[in-house]
Amino acid sequence: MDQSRIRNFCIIAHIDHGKSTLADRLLETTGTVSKRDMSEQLLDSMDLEREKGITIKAAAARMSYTASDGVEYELNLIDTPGHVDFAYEVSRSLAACEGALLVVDASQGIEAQTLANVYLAMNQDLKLIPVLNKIDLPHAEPERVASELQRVIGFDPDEIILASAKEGTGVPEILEALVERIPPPKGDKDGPLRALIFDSKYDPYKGVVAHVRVFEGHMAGRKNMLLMQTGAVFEPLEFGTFSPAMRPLPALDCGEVGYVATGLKDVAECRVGDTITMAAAPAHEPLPGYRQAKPMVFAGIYPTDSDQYQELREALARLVLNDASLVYEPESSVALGFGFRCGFLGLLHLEIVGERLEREYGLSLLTTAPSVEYHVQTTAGEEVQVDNPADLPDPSKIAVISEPWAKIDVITPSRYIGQVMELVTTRRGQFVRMEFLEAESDLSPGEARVLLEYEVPMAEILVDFYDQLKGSTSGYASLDYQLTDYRPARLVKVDILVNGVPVDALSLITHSSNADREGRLLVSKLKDLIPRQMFDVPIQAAVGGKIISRETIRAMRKNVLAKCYGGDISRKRKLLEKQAEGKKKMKRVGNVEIPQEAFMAVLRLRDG
Amino acid sequence: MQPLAVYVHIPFCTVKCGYCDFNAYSGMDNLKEAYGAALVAEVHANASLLSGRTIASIGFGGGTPGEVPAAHIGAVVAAIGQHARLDPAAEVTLEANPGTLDRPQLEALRAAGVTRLSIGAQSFHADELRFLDRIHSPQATAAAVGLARKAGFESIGLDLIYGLPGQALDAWIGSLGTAIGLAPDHISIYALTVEDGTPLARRVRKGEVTPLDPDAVADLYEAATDRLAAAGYLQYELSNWARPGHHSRHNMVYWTDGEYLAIGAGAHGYLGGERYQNIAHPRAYIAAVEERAPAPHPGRESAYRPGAVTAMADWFSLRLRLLEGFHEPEFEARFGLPLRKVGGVVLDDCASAGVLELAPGVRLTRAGRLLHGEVSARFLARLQNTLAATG
Ligand SMILES: Nc1nc2c(ncn2[C@@H]2O[C@H](COP(=O)(O)OP(=O)(O)O)[C@@H](O)[C@H]2O)c(=O)[nH]1
Ligand code: SF4
Ligand SMILES: [Mg+2]
Repeated sequence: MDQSRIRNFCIIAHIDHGKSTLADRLLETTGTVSKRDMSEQLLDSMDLEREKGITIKAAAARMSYTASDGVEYELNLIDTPGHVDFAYEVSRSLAACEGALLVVDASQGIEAQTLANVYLAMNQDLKLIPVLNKIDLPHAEPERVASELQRVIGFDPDEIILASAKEGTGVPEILEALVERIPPPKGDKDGPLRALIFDSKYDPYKGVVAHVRVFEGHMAGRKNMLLMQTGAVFEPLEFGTFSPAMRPLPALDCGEVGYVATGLKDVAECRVGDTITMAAAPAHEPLPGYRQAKPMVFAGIYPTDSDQYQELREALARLVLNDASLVYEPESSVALGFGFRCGFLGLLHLEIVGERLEREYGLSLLTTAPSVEYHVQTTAGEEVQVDNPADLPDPSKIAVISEPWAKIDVITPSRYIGQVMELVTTRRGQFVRMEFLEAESDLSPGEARVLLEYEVPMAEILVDFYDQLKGSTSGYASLDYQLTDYRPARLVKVDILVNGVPVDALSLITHSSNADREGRLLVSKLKDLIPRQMFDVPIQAAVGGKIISRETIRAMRKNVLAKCYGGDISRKRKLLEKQAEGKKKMKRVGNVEIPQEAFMAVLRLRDG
Repeated sequence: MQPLAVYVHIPFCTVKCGYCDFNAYSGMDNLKEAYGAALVAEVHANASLLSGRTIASIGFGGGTPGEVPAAHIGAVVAAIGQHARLDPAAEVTLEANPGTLDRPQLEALRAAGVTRLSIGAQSFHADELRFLDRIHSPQATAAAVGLARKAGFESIGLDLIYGLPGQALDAWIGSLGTAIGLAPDHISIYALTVEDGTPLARRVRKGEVTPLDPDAVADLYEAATDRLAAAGYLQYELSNWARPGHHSRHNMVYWTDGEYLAIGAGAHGYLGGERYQNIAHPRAYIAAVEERAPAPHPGRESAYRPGAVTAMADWFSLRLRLLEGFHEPEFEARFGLPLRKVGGVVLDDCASAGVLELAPGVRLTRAGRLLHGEVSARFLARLQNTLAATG
């Protein structure tokens, strides 16, 4: 296709603002998918994606559209993951486009993550087309949200398209705007090949299939290609595009979006953000912006039944074929036996990986409390990275511990500023700035939306910060975060001793000012979660060998059937079998049986 | 061949108590005649199982066996005696409700061959008896014990229930003291258990009744243990105490892996390594016996042969109910595997927790008596983990 007739775009939207619905409508209106084949939310293909209502993997679709000028255009839609965990993937998808539809729910207004992505898109010089969706809703406030968009992003009033993805209103205008407003891809079609990988997935027959945008030159033939960052070389097996299913083509031209089947066996060799070029005549420089996705959250994954260790290992190996951002290595715990330490992009990523392992591979797993990665300088002058509290060196050997910090953006109606401030303060956060997104004078008091920016230690927002934020703002606040830097902090490890035995999988790292409170809370949670044993079990929290909290789980007094005569034997045996079943699910640590939930207790420290 | 016990089930009661999940029915008096005949027919149909065996005990349970005409009881005992050798010292024990016992009935039962009475006193507080839906008064129990003595029963037992919602230690020890004052030969005490599907369970679910805290129930048990010992009763099972020589020989069969034949609706039996159960509903049971007799087991509904794991767990858990416990070689003689190997760490854990004694015999300690379920469940879990393949 002639470059001047190509338009590459993505959709930026907050969860539930209508991205998938609009994508479906575009596919349908352009005849890419017939009404008959239309299944709800075509681009979300994983069950998990449909269930959770979020896009996890990027997807793409090529549409052919004849505009009002009578010319046929090729529209390439790149659907991006909808969660901050996948911010890097989103940035690469944006990099593959010249423009973006900014879809905002007209009854909600713009949210923090959306705004973060808007800034990302603006930095990459993408043409933004603002769309106010869901105008069919009775409580939609298009004028208000339009003026918010004007104020915050600087749109002209007549740029904004009013739409209802549900009813199809505004869809023709959107298609025309894509053609008119988004510039065609530039790029030298005769130059050396440079194609950006914005996603990849594994296919058992074709190897790693890279989703690409061709920036310069074109892709055709079977000559070897080179991945400029990883250095991997492959012979291309197939080119093609998405409609939205894979459709082979003889070539991908300059400016186009599509896929190349690499035959590579390992996604790690074919990473998002890498540049493909010809092995024999490589480009001088790769495309900018590559970085290796870095895990931010770490947790141990253990099989509940140690017999499943091998299966878990194989399942992880299969899963990383499709997910280069997941890292893992074998780990063992005194309490839990053999398992794997895994690194994730964020908590959602952790949750998705856990669910996929259980569902797609039929495993029963125990996941330990997530942790960030700490940087420790030892008194011997070494730098060690610690992502498992159990591995923290002895306090006497630590010179400095640093922890990761994040910049967070919160958007909320101004009446909740106080609550947000308070929450962030309890999480050791620091206020940076505040900006009104709307003029207060136009609205009733407290209604104007405001952007609050803070700096907060990552560890403090890891687990339940988002839920608490939602809770303290009646669900209005939205959140975006970004890792910024490492800062020294007075951190300590809280060890938990069960019946006098330290249980590595229960220890946590926390700020010294919180150690007492969290140690106490953890001990009392554990007291509730660990069932009474045949003897008294002391539960203690200790910092550097000093006990900071102690409770005792009293020995059980009574577990006996009152009667057992001839007729009771079969019947009552069922009760015993049920109890035995429960016992088999416990992890034995020392001589104490600990249920799985106890290992997650650290996560629930803040609710009580 | 080891002696055989026979269990006979009588499913009739005047009123169905709210806590009861036994196979018992009220308002079916019109079935009693046909039922009596079916019992006798079932005994005759099982002639081949009885012949050549010595019967050491017969237990009539229910329901309320004291409620059917004594002639029915006598007919069953006689029928059994036609096919098997009834040990002259056989224990013929019968559960009775103090509300339905009068002198003629008691004398008739004695004449019918019943040697031992187990009287469901339950409590000596009128309000507690009302809560339990019992139809009798405390005075009726006292009277029944006196009448039974006069009628010449060799052994008289009283059953008590403790751990009622809100029950105070005084109230419980008061009931127990009254029972002891009547000088029975045997006392059984049972913690009130909220069984699924009973009216009591519904009341608990609706919040009308709050079960007593298990720790408080444990306190009541401990206090009873002391009180009974002081009165000269010897504990021989978790819930049973007796004057020397008066333990129930019939019930011992259940705990020592002995065989027993089941007669009557819903009765359970254990014969030739097989556990089986009769049809529960009296009407269906009668119909089945009428149709299938004289084939053996005409009332049977289902049977199964416990696998190795189940058999070992049953044996272990039942023997541990006895205070004397057992000796390790007995386990190995029965199953061909050393107990230590099978029980492994579970035995050590329980011993080090002070719950179980391993030498000279294996038995629960005093503290362990209330943790019998815990020990049994751990033993079972271990068997399932280590021997699962053998079933
Ligand atoms: N009333 C109305 N509902 C819409 C519209 N667009 C999407 N929705 C609904 O909003 C919800 C979220 O839409 P979806 O496309 O999945 O949002 P996404 O999370 O951004 O992909 C779904 O229940 C849609 O049916 C619209 O224009 N009007
Ligand atoms: S008398 Fe005994 S068998 Fe009958 S209903 Fe009451 S508790 Fe159940
Ligand atoms: Mg969606």
